[in-house]
Amino acid sequence: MPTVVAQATLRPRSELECERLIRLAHRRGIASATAYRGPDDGDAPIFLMLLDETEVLEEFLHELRGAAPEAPVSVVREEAVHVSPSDFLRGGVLEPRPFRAEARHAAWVFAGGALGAGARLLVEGMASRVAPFHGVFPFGTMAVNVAGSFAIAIFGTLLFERFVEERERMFWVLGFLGSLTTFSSYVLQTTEGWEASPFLGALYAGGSVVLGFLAALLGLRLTRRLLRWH
Amino acid sequence: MALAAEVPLTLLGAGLGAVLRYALGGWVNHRLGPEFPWGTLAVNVLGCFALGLLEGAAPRDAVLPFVLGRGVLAGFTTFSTLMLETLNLALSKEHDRASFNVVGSFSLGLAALLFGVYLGAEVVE
Repeated sequence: MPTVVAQATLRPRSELECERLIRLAHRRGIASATAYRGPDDGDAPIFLMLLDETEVLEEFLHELRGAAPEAPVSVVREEAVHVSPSDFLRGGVLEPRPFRAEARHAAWVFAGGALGAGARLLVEGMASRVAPFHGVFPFGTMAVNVAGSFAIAIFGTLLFERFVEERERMFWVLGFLGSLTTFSSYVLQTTEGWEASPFLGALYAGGSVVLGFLAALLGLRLTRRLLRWH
Repeated sequence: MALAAEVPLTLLGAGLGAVLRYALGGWVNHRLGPEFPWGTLAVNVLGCFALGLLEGAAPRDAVLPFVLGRGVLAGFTTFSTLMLETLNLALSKEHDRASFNVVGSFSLGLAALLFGVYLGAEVVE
């Protein structure tokens, strides 16, 4: 009795969605769920390939279409001549590797984090020297938070397209940009601003988030457009 | 304005904070992710609580709060990752999760900070 296998291919819209769908496939015991870089014909060059016996995969596809309704799925069926390893289709699921902090990565994160804080202190110091009202409306901190959101979206897009090495990600994204921008100071400054004037406090809290989000969106769009010119 | 001795310590502290974020955030994300970026939320709320404690306790010394607040905790918490992960959720059409990521991070961070201030002041008394 020959085994019929089915292969489903779909294109997730973002890296997060891709990870989510792989995790879902793992949880449902799909034999293989692999993300790979496909031919670049537009938006996201990451494809997701699922492989299992036809009945198992088709049952999963119902759930998959619900989880990612806008990702078009194409399915092909092939007769498997040889399955290796022999238990591959029977629960031979690859589990995601557990997270382990690595010393060489930590060193890059540390260096980037120190440098990012230096840049933040420099901008905040200059801003408070230029405008004494920086204590009530800390636009220097707001500026580094918004600029950092812009830059991290550029790195995030390049990372998605596999242009950024792991070491660069540790130094620039987790280290430099993570430390350049700050959430704890942002929340504290909001309470301080609120005490001086609720309007300024709300403007600072809302403005940081709205500008930060728009900056990230701009960074992503700009990077995608520039990459397409290659 | 920052004194000469504070700046190097603050930078080292921020490096340490970033490494703690890498370790804790990565661990939480692995345990609970990737449907929602719990790692960043955990790091940010914890950082706000610690900053609240510091503010509430209000130590007389001027160097320590600067090094911890502007160095370790500012480096530990992150705004840029929060924005990128929110954008990622929004692009995946996960609008509920994207809004929760922003509103929830802020509300929980604020609550943690205020609770920290209260607790810090109590401890000092």
